[in-house]
Amino acid sequence: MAQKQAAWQDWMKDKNWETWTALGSGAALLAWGIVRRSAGSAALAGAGGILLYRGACSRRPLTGILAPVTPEPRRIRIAATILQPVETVYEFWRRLDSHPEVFQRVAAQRVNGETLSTRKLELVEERPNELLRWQTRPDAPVRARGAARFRPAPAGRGTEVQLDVVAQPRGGGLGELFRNALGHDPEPRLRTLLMRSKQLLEAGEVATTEGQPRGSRSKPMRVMTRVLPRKEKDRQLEAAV
Amino acid sequence: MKAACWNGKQDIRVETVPDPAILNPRDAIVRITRTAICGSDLHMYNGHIPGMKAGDIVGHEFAGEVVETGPEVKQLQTGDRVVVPFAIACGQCFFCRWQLWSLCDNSNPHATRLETVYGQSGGGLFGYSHLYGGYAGGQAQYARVPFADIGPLKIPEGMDEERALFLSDILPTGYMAAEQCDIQPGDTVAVWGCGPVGLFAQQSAGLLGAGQVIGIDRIPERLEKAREQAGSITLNYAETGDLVEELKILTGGRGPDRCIDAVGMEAHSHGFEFYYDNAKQMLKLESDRPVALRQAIQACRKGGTVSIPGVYGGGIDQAPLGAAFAKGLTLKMGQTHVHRYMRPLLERIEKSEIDPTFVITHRAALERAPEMYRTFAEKRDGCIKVVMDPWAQAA
Ligand SMILES: NC(=O)c1ccc[n+]([C@@H]2O[C@H](COP(=O)([O-])OP(=O)(O)OC[C@H]3O[C@@H](n4cnc5c(N)ncnc54)[C@H](O)[C@@H]3O)[C@@H](O)[C@H]2O)c1
Ligand SMILES: [Zn+2]
Ligand SMILES: [Zn+2]
Repeated sequence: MAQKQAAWQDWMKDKNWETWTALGSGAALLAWGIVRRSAGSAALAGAGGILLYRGACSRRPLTGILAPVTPEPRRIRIAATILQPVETVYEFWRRLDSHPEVFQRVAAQRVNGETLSTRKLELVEERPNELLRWQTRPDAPVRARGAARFRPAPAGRGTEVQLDVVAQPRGGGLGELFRNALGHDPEPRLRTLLMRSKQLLEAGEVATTEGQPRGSRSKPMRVMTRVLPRKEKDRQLEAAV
Repeated sequence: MKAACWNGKQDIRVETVPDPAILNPRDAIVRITRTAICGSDLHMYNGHIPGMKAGDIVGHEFAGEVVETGPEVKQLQTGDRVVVPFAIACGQCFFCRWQLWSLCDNSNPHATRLETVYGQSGGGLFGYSHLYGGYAGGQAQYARVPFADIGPLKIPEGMDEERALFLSDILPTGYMAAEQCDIQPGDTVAVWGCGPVGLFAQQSAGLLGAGQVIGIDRIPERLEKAREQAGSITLNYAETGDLVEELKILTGGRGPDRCIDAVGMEAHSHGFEFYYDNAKQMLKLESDRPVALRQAIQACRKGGTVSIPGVYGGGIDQAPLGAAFAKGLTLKMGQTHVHRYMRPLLERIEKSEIDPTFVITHRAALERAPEMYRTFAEKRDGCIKVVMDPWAQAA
C-alpha cells in the first residue's frame, strides 16, 4: 500500500501545466467524440486518446510534438597510417583549409542544405605533433567537436592519425530521419577526408575518376550484389540439398 | 573515341565516347595500339563482379604510345611506346615501397567502399568495377593512365608491342603464381587451368626449376599448348575419374608439392558438385565456385604450397580448411604485383627465353569486341587469347 502511494506521488510530481492541459483536453475530446458518434468524431476521439496517452507518459506532451527529443550524439573513431614524418602530417592537418583538394570534394556533399567547410570549424587546442582539437562555430549547420591524435608508427612506417569526432545531429525528428536515409551520415565523409589527406600527403594528388569518359548508361547502376553469402540461407540450402 | 563498354551481363557494346583528358598532375594519356581480353574480364562479362555500372569502359591489358603527359610526369615523353600494368600504384605508399604494388593505398578513389566489404582496400585497377576505383579501361582507342612514371614500362626500340603486351598482366600473373610457390629442385607443380594464366604459370614453373609440371583442363587445344609450350604432362579432368587420386599416382602418393589454381571463381566441373555450386551462385548464396581450389587443397602434399592467381570475390563454402590445416599448407594469393615483374620479364623476352605471343589465337578490330568476348567466353573456335587493334577497320 505504501509503495502504491509512492508511485502515485511520483506520477503526480511529474505533472506540469502542459501535462494537465493535455490530459484535460484529451479527456474532453475523447468524451465528445464518443458521445457524438459520427465519422468525424471518431477522429476527434482518436486525437483525444493520443493527447491523453502523451499527457500520461511524457513531460512535454504538447511542445514535444513540435520539437521532439534531441537525438543521441554520434561518436566516430577512425584511424589511418600516413607514410610521412609526424611533423609533416601534423602541419598538414593544422592547415586543412589550405588543401582544398582534400576538403572541397568532400564539402561538395551538402550537410543540412549547407556545404561543410573548414571555415565552420575553429581550432580550440593544439599540442604540436600530438593533438589538434576542433569544434564547429555556432553558425555551423552541424554541431560537432573532434580531435586528431598523432603518433609515430613503429619502425619508420610513418604517422598514425586517429580521428575522434562527436557529431550532434540537430534535433529535427522526422527531418533528421530523412537526412540519414538520404545518406547524410558523417562517417563516410570523415573516412573520405582522412583517405584523401593520406593520398595527398603520400602520392601528391587525390585519386579521382571524375571527368573520365564512359559509355551511355543504358541501365541504372547494378545493385551491389552481396559479396559475402548470407550464412543462414546457406545453411538452409545445405540442409535442403 | 571508340571504347568497349560493359552494359550488363554478357552485354559488351562498342560505343563512341569522349576522349580521356589529364585529370591529375601525374597522369598521361596513351593512344592504345593493342589491347587484349583477359580471363578476369570474363568474370565481369558473366556478371560475377559487383559494383559495375552500365557504360563502364572495360579492359586492362594494353600497350600504346604516350600522347600527352601531366605536369608532374618526368620519366615519360610523348611518343614513348609503353605497356601499362593493370594495377594502378602510386609508388610512394608503404605497400608500393614493399613491392606490393597491387595493394597500393592511394590509387583507389573508392577505397572506403571496398574497406567496408574486405576490411581494407586494394589499389585501383583499370576497367574493373567501381569497387576497384571505377577507372575507365583499356579496350578503347585512348586511356588515361594515373601515376604514369610508376607503372608504364617503355617498350624497347624495335620490339613488336605484341611481344610486350602481356607484361601488362597475364605473364607476370603466371610468373608470380609460380614464384610464390617457392619451388625446390625436383618439385612437382600441378596447375589447374590451361588458359593464358595457367599456361604462363606452367612455363614459369619450369623456368624456376620444377622437376615435373602437370597441366589440368578439359579443352583439348589448351592441353596441347601446355604440352607443347611448357613441356607439361596434362590431365583432362573431364576424362579422369578421380583427379586427386590420379595426381597421387603421378607423384608416388605424396601429392604435388605445389598446386596452382589458375581457374578462379567460375570453375567448371561435372556432376553434382557443379550443380550445387552453380545453383548457389545463381541464387547469390555463394559468390564463387571453388571447385579447382578445393581439389588443389585436397591434392597438395603435406607442407606444400597452394598458390591462387585465379580471382575470388566473396565467400565460398565447403572450403577444405581442415585439410589445409591438417597438412600444414601455405596459401598464397592476390592480385599480381605487376610492376615487380615487368622489367625482369621484359629482359627474358629480349633474350628470347620467353615468347609470350604463343597464347594469341585471335586478332581482331576493337569493333568486334562483342563477338570476341563471346568466342573467348565460350572457348569456341580454339580461342585462347584475343588481341584487338582499336584503330583497325572491322573486316
Ligand atoms: N591474380 C591476378 O592478378 C590475375 C590476373 C589475371 C587473371 N587472373 C585470373 O586467373 C584466372 C585464369 O585467367 P585466364 O585468362 O587464364 O582465363 P581463362 O578463362 O582463359 O582460363 C581458365 C581455364 O580454366 C579451365 N577450367 C575451368 N574449370 C576448371 C577446373 N575445374 N579444373 C581445371 N581447369 C578448369 C578452363 O577450361 C579454362 O581453360 C581467372 O580467374 C582470372 O581472373 C588473375
Ligand atoms: Zn587480366
Ligand atoms: Zn602506393
